[in-house]
Amino acid sequence: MEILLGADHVTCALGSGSTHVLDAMLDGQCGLVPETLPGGIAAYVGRAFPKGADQHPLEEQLLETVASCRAQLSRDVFAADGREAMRSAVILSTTKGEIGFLEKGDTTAAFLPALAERLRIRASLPAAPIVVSNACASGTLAIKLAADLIRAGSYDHVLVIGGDLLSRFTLSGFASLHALSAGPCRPFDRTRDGVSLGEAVAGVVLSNDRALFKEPLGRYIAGGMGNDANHISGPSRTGEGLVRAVNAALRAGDKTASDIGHINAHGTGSSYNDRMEAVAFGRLDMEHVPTNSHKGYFGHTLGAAGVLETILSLHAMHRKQLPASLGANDLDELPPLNVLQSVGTPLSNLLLKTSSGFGGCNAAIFIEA
Amino acid sequence: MKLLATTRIQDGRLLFNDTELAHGIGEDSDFLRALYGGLGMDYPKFHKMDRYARLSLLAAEPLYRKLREEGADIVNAVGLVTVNRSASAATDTEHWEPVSRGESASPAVFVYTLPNTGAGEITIRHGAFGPSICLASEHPDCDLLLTIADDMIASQGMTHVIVGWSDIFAAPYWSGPPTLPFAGFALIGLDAGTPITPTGLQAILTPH
Repeated sequence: MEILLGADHVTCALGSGSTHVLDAMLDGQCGLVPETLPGGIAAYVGRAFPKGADQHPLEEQLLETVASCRAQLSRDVFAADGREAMRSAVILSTTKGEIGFLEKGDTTAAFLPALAERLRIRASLPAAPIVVSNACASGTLAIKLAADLIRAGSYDHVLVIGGDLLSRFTLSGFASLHALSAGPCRPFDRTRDGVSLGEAVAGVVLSNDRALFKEPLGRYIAGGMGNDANHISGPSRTGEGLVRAVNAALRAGDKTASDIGHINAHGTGSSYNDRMEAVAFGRLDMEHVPTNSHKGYFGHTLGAAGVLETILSLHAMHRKQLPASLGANDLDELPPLNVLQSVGTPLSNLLLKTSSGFGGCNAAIFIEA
Repeated sequence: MKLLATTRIQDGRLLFNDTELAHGIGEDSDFLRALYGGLGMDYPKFHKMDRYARLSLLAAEPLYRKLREEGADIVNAVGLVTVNRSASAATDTEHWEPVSRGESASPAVFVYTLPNTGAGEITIRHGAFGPSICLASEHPDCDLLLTIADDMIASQGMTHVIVGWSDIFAAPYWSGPPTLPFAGFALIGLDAGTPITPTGLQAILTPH
């Protein structure tokens, strides 16, 4: 069965629309801006939306994303009263959803299913979105789940939306872990010193019907998932979970390391994460593959990251221009990876996208651009 | 797919296949510690976890013991699907309280403000490297959960999948005290057992 991706939309610190955002990335623009957090902590953040503009800020942004993706389809398969309503689903990828409600003292309004239900009503969806909340691996895992559900025959069309906002909740937590970089994050750089958080929404449709898309963005090949079984907040030193996730995807897709044209890594800019990824890709014999992290451009967008970065990577592969891994000026030498320090060219049209998160979870997907 | 075993934590009792293995009373933490003692566990990390991760770990414990006794390949071939309604809300509130007063957050609390930490702690405790996924929903969508479990077995090489609901806040249709923790876990596989249906799974994953 052929599973295609298309009809995408993104909004992040570099603006709205995949083409526009990719243009800015290829131009070397950084969307991260300095911000002083409570307690006088200096950080850089990737702000995409005006602060405190809406009562339901994430919901509004996700609705715009849903509408934009649907408008690009040749027919609206996601209408609650449509002929294909029973064959369509929406998956929402988020870590903290509308956590702003908790900050205002309304705990239950911050529950993730409450956001899903409001999206169902306001976007007239056939059912409330399925919510994947698997830390920073959520977005990549949501795309994998969408493809698994189509392949299993549960649905023909799945819209995957990812979103997380910058919040005092998350910023204060990362600050308490001393995980924030004082400057813009520098994934894979020798002097990297932490994460820059960002906010974003992103959406993409997966379908087994080519006629749904004016022009498909890619063809889903396979995915894999693995756990580190090591530590609740620190990545594995051996990269075991990531190696297992990628190996599972390689097996499922009948691919080898030599087939891969480009790796868009998780690359948070934290010392341990990037080292873990380098160890894992070394073990997988993928050191030669052109690799980048997008987080130097718009920060770590948590539950949106996997969706956002997959979309942008596929657009980049179509152009045969891979963005440089922004901030990687002085490459960490051990273990060596082919981290792009300037705009690069993919070795083939096969993308490997990986994400890793708290809890020791790792997800990997292969998509042919 | 067959249902091989269940654990339910409800009304202060931990039931494994309807046999009580442990019980406890008191506030959440005391109650969870009593269940830990009742199961005869010796795992110091337990005491560093938040209540949600403890609840999840306790519900999973008898199922992994059964897998271990039967020689299952826990390292490579057991998948995990977790779902609940409130995600990590109890710990989210705990994290937010000092921050809202302008004080520093506690890193030990913050790391548990994600709903997949329950599954994460289970994989660490049992050295399980297989796939896992964490969902949030108002009620367990058992058609979806069984489709995911079936995919892990049919396409991802798992021999067993554990599907579990655990929530520090009980579901809205539950008439008990609003903060009564509930967990329902099912061990699914291909061995001898009763066939698992969405309705059957629903009964395991919801309080009654």
